[in-house]
Amino acid sequence: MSRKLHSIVALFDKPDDIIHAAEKTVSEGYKDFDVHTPYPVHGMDHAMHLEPTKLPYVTLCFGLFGLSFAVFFQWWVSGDANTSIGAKNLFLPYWLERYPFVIGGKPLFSLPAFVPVMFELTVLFAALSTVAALIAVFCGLPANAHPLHDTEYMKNVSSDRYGLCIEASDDLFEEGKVKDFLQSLGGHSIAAIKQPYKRPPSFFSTLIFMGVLGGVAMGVGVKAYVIYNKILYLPPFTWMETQPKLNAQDTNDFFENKSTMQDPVAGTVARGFMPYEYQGDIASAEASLVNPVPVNQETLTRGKLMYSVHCSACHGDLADGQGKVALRTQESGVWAIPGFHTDVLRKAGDGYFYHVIMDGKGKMSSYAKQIDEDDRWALIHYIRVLQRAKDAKETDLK
Amino acid sequence: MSVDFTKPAPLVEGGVSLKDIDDVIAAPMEKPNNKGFLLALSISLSLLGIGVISVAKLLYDGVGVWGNNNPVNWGWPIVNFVFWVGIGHAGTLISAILFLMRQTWRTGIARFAEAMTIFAVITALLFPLLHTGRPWLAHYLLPYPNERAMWVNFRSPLLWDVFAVSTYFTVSLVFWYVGLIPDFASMRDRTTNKIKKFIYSVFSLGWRFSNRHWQHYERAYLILAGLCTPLVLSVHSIVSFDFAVSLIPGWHTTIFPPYFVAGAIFSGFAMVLTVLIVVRVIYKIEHIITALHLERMAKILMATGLMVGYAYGMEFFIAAYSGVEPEQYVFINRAFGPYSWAYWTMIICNVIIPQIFWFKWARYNIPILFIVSITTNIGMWFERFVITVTSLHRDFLPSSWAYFTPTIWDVGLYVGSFGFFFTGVILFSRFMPVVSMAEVKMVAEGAQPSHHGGDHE
Amino acid sequence: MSSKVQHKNFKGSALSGAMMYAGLGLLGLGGALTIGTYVSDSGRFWSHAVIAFMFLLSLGLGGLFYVALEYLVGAFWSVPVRRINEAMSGFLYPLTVIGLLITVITIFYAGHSSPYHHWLPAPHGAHHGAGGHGDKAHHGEKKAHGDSHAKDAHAKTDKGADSHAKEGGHDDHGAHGHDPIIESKRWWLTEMRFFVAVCICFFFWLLFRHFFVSQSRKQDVTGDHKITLRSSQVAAPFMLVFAGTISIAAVNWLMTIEPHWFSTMFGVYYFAGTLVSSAALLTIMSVILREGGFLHPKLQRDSYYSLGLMLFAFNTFWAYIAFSQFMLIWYANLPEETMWFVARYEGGWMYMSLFMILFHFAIPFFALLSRTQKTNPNRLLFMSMWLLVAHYMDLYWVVMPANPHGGFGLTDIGFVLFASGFVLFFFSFFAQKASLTPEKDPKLAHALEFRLH
Repeated sequence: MSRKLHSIVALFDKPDDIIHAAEKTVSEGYKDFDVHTPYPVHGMDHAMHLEPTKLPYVTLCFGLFGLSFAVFFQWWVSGDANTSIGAKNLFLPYWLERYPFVIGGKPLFSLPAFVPVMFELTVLFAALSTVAALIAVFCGLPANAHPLHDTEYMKNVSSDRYGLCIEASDDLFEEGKVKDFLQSLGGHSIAAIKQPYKRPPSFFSTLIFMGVLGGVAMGVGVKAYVIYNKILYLPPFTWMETQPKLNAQDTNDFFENKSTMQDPVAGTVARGFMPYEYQGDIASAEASLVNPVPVNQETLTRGKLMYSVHCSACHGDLADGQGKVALRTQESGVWAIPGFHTDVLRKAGDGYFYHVIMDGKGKMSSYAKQIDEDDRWALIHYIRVLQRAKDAKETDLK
Repeated sequence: MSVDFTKPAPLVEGGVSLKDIDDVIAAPMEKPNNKGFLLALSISLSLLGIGVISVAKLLYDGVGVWGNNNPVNWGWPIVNFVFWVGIGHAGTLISAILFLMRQTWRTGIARFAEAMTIFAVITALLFPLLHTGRPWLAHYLLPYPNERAMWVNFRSPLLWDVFAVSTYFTVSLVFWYVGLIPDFASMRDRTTNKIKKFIYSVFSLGWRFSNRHWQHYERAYLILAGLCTPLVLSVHSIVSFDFAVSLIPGWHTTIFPPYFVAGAIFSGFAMVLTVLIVVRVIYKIEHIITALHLERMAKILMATGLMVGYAYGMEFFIAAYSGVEPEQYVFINRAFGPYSWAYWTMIICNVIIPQIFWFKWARYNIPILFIVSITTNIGMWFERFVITVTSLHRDFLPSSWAYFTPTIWDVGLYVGSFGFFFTGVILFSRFMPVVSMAEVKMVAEGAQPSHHGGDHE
Repeated sequence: MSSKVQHKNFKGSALSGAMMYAGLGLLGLGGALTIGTYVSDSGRFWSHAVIAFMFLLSLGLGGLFYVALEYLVGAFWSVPVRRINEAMSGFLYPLTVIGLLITVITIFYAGHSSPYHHWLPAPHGAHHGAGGHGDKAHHGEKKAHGDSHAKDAHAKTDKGADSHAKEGGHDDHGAHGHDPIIESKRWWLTEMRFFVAVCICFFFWLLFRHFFVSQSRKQDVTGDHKITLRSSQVAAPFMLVFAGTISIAAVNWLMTIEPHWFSTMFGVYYFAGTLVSSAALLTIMSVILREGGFLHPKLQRDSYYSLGLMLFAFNTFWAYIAFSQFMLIWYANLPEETMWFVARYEGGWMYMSLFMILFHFAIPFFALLSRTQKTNPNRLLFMSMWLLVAHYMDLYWVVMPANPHGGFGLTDIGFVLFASGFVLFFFSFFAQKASLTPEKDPKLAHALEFRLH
């Protein structure tokens, strides 16, 4: 069985020669031909009348795709399902759920923070698509079975000669005519290149190939499964979980009461909870304590807020003892909650009120843990405001 | 020597023929191991061995074996990471940026520089991987749908780093590979060894030097170079964001991105110089990697060194101008505090010593080039050290101030990283073409046609 | 090899004449209109004056930079158009006059109308513009510190309050004049030091401009290769001086307008804008002059590629610098830094800021992306004009928000006309001083051989 003719080739020694040869080949009307050079020769594209390459379009498309993907992806994973349109009803599997997390007070969709990843993905997609398109689409590689491989011609053009190859599939091809033409151009080592024996891949070899592919895929899967579900649960990877430290709920032989958790040493004071020195002594409190907080818009606003949060439920918004709780207790007659519009309370010093907040009075418990020091004093100023409201003088109207 | 301004300097000395270029470049791959190669490899493998021991200790005992403390919770690992990523940038600059600028003299050194980039980036990636403590869980850094219903934090520069360095690594690898395809094809056609032939055939993808392919190939190369250029700028800018997005005086300053990029190129070129000076002697390719190449690299070293110096000056000026006391203190502390020894080493190595290259004789003197390239790398390592440690060890609250000392395992890992890098580079030089055969042939004398296919209006 | 060039002579040509007359006309018309601005609001006048001046300065400095850069790196492609850069660098002469004038008046005489009034010593109890943005910044800063400070602040003594103000409060309009932050800057910010720094800048710029251009012209006569060598050697120290002086220029004229603010990137930011705008003007003049037959007849359109590439690359670089500066300040959210950007978020400025992203970055990026676009003379002309407008807008965006009565009134177009007239007139003026092609430059022949493959 003789092999079919693929092409006639010729070698040239100088770059000027090959350029000239290419131009002549085009003007002779040949279309199915190619030039082979060990490196790109300037002006060859023009000489061969090649159309400009479409590769940049691939780059642009995939680059833009990468950019949009990056924006969308970051928006999606950082966003809040509750505020996004329609996202709440999507019933996504948990592994596509979003993960809105406020970082450093930044908005969930922080475009300036997203820009670096947007840029990187644009470049990544653009570059990888360009190379993939170059190799697979534009050059049709890998192509190790091409007839030109393993020929003297190829050995020369990959080193230091320039080659012209006119293919038999061309309409104008005629073996003798082409050989003469190449000779006239100044080419040497003119040779005929034959097609290799064409053997379709056998069923067996295809099977082996698919088998290998499948095997690799399965192997990777199995490996991943074994590592992440079995091996990572064995020592030393489990050392983080079993640590030689005592947990709060463990028993402990060191202490007498066998407990790891111990009470703090007697006399320990929690931060912000210094003991109140006038405990049980309202007279000294009233006498000694002075309101250090100034009276201004800001403190009164604060005081009003504190009062409405902590006090108004019982004592009423207008300090008249008609808060919601008071109304209920009046119904059941359990106890009477005082208003502040009595002469006694108007004359009482700020320290009196402070003491009651700290110590409680009667049924009222201590609010020391709920209200900070500054807030207590601000609150007291507000109480004075309320008292003044029901006790206003003529001069206040001016 | 007088310069001829009428044409660009010859890129390959001695009027070598195309075949000679092939032979010279392919020689290390075709000849058996030479003594220089074995010696270099044994040294780098010993360094690598030290690294392996340090990594084993690290994985066994955890990151507590390092010297990181409070407040200096970023120590040598991040300094080393930035150091190695920086070194990688010179490779991309030489292959991509100089390509875009049509500086054809880059051909002699581009391939080697790209390989250095690849290995430097791999070395760099070791540090963020290992510093996690549980590197087998490194995939947690990637945004993939998972059973914990968690995603990574896209607002953190540490995550931007993951994207940036991975993209940089992938694109550099791909760029390097695309450049290697024609060379693998040349090797395939030269070799007589069946196994080597099979390997080269596979990796060259059956490239057959067709001009129809060269057309697409050249455009792809240009596009990749055009993509790599902003990529390299972005990668080190994003690395600088690790520091600059914080509040810490000495870290939060807007000039960090270009400053880090200039510094990266500075240290990268120094490393390229160091390695090339050795390689060109070992493999006898002084006529391809010429004194002109070395001189040009020295000039770029100077230029980027001065840019780094500008940034030092600007930071200092603005610290004084801003009136922000903690910022002013940082600079005073750097110069006169407990780390002044590191600071002055940095200044001497980065600012003062490279000034010798104002003199032409220094730029052509190989020992000086070699020594200055090494001191520059020392200086640039110290720059990252000074930035990281001095800003952390004394920031706003004096009661939190502390001194940082590295441990033997910090040093061991760092030494090991050099072993890792050099082993990779040495193996590369033995088994792959260190100079791009196709590109050098393209710019050799007489390689291009003499007329230009007509003037187009 | 250099041949006797047969091309149209720019000097005395119709084009050069037209440029000079049009330029003069615009200078006059523009100048007249600006008087209208001065009359209605002298503060706005001076802000606009600074914007126009910095715009023209960036063109002059860019021209000088490109001339030196060509010598420094031994570039070939730019040799046929170097004279255009040299002509642009000539702007520095009239700009020295204008610049010193503006500086002297705004520093020593304009008082409250000066864009620098925030740090100039307060004259005769002038009251600062009705609250303006000063209070806004203070208010915004208070919000940032939040409630945790509200309580403490009131318990503090004066010392505390002082340091609280120091943290980021704006001019203390009540206690007039004494701002501790600005006082701490007096080592740099006094009238005399400002003026001296600026004089030093002009001195060096003119010195180096004179050197490069006179040597270049000398080479037209002698053809001496040593001139190229010496210029390459001088270009290196020049770059150092340039880096320092352009930073000083940007800091002094632009950054001190908002004296509480600071950014180490600012010099680089102005430099990036300089690169873009002067590349744009270079492109415009190169295309017009080449298409008009005034450049070397062998210069092909292939060379446009380099111009297009410069525009594209430097504009993208500008965008990167601008974004980096913004993002870092946004991220750390420190009030003493964010206040500058907050002023450019509020009111109508937000629209302009967003518009700039589109106008100054996105559109030029896609318009100059492909190789075809970069070599198309019409596209290059259009995008260069676009980028010049964008750069002017950029400087406007930098300067004007600090001015509470700022804005763009009808008569303010006069400044733009003035700047355009300046460019036309002085470009023509300086370009006529020598041949538009450096005929005996040893690199010229190889430069003309450049072809895109």
